[in-house]
Amino acid sequence: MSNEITLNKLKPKQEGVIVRVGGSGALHRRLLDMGLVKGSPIKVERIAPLGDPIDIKIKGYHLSLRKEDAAKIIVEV
Amino acid sequence: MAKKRTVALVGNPNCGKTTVFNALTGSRQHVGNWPGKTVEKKEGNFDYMGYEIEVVDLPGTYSLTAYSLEELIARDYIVDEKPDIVVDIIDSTNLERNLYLATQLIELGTAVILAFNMTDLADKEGLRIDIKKISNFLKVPIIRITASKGIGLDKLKDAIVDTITNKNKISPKDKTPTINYGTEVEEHLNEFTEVIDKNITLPKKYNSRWIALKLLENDEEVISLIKTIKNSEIALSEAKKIRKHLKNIFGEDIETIIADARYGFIHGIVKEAVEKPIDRVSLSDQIDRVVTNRILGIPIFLGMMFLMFHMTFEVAAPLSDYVDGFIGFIGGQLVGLLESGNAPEWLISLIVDGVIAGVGSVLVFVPFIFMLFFIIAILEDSGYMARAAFVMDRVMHKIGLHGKSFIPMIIGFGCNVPAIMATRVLESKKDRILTILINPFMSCGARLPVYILFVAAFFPERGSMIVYSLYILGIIVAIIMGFILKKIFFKGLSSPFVMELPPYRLPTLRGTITHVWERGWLFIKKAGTVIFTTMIIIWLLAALPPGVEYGSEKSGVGMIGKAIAPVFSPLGFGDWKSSVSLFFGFVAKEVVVGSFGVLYAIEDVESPVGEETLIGELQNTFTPLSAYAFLVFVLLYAPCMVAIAVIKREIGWKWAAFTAIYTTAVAWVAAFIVYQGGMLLGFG
Ligand SMILES: Nc1nc2c(ncn2[C@@H]2O[C@H](COP(=O)(O)OP(=O)(O)OP(=O)(O)O)[C@@H](O)[C@H]2O)c(=O)[nH]1
Repeated sequence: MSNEITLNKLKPKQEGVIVRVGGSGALHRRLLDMGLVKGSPIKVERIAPLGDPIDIKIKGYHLSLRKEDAAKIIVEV
Repeated sequence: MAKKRTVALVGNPNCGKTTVFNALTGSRQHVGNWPGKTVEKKEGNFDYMGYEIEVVDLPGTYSLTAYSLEELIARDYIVDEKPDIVVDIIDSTNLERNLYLATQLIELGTAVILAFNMTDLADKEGLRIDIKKISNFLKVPIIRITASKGIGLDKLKDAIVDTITNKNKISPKDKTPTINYGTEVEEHLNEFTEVIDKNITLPKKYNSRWIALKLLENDEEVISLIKTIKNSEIALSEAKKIRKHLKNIFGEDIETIIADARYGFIHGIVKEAVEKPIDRVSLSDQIDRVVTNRILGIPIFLGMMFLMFHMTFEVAAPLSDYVDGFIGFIGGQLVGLLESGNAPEWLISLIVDGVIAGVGSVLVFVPFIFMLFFIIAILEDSGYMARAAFVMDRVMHKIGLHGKSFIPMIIGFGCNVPAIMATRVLESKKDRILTILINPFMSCGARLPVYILFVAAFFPERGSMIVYSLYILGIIVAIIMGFILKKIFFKGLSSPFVMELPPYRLPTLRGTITHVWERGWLFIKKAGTVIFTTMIIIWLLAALPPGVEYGSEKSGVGMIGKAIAPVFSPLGFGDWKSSVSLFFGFVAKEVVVGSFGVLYAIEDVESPVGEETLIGELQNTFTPLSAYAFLVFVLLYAPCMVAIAVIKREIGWKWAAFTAIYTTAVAWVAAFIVYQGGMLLGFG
């Protein structure tokens, strides 16, 4: 069953596919530019030791995002 | 005469641009592994087949939409200055994201050559890239290179000359657009392009389809460009209408649609032209499993910091002593020489107290700085710095800063000078300025001698507690001022933390050494000249008017000391001698100790007898409370002039002056609270 949740809810090593990238202004654009676009597979690699930010794998590279920003990205798992 | 052409090198951070630049121009450049580090515009040139090619190395950028200051530099250069050719360096191991910038460059309509770099790594990963296919899709030449080994660079140069010679054959206008955004968007885009062509006379260097696209994307730079042109309202209102219309149809803003289409297009190409082995866990991932591990991450980070400090101060301290000794030796020789040559006393004093003391105070820093830069270079070039930022962002975010601000704060405990330079690792200028502004509150090593002297005189029982309290106070003040300054100057400008974690790479010796040398030499050169002049001014003040005893009550500094002493009365230390020593402390904070020595006419403050006499004198001047207030002031007031000189170089004289003034104001207020508060509580 497919299920839509926000990216910050993904557990380490869990994978998903991006459904929508929210956020506004510079953040929204930046996320798009970095390859977080609809249909891209995305994987949470790990969470930083203090619980934030997270390390995700997208388009074959690693990107770190704060959870508050990751909460604006909806993925299908 | 060779014909001149300009070539701009662009690419994502860390794609090897600087390495290509070095290989092409042979100039010495810094090579780093920190995303977005190349901040200044670097130029060089080479001659090839009768052309003189001017090469510009632009800051790394992920996109042509300006986001950070450095990206704006790159974007403006490409869009507005229009180099003859843009060479986009592509990291072959990360094709999709790297090609995103390439598609934007192609759409812009400049002559683009793609250099697929890091092919050695791509081969190792088992990637098979069909360059020809990609080249056909994108309609631009592609060259395979391995910049770090110098492979493929001649082919790149050939491609540059080829593009120059048939440049005029392909005008951007008669090319069918590379990327198709789908019927609905394309229809509106074409219509809008016509509207623009009909109503607006664009400067020749821009093509109207690109302008139309950018206006639909709501690109701020292009909007403000268009606003300067006649009839811009027509285009702008049309853009607004289309944006709204498309949003209604797609239920999404057009930026998303366009980015989706670009990445979709690239994804299609990569699927067709690249054979990928199944993802396996790379070495870099394995390292990260340990280094950013939930349990080990913080201990490893702390260990790294400790190691960095330890190495810097343990390894460099003896070297620094050696330099100190050497300067003393040279000074002695010089004095001997001058005396035997019957040089006038003032000249000897100028050279010994002014020049040698001043230049010496810079040179003793040098071993620390080179050592620290060496370690930082290794941490950066290997990719660890990005992990440190990743691990520490949570803490830094809480106090309004960025993960990457952490490193400079730590370095500040050693010396604020390299710490301020280390803020270069910050991508956003605002974060950088803010980090620099609060850095002086980190209690540097030069303040320690002052603490030690006063602790010996006033708090022999609770020495370490007093010193410890000062370090903590520095951190607290830094945090509070960070909050306040952010509210005043950088309101709402918190930059989101969207940071690439680049793969780990083994730093090259050449890269590291170039890196250290460039930063270190800049420090010596720039700081050296400022210190030299400042020392001479201070010497003049201390030695004049003629005939006065050096640094005495009647000298220039003595008069200044007396003039400013009342300012310090409310803080509990209103005698002119402490004012003068604070004045000298601006040269370097440890000088405070030395100047007390001069002022109380004690021959050698470092000898046991000398120290005891000085302690006696201090006990006559200060009470324990005013002594503590004095220490608080020494901790917080204007950083030494080397630090100020470096701040000026990094972010300009206005911020440098601001730092000197506001830190002193903060110091005054804090010392006032300590002294008056202590009096009220009956500690006086
Ligand atoms: N294996 C391999 N490494 C390379 C190649 N080209 C560059 N490197 C390495 O990649 C790292 C980054 O290179 P830089 O030239 O600093 O990259 P840059 O794009 O200028 O980076 P920024 O200045 O941060 O934007 C360095 O450690 C280089 O030695 C290559 O073709 N193969």
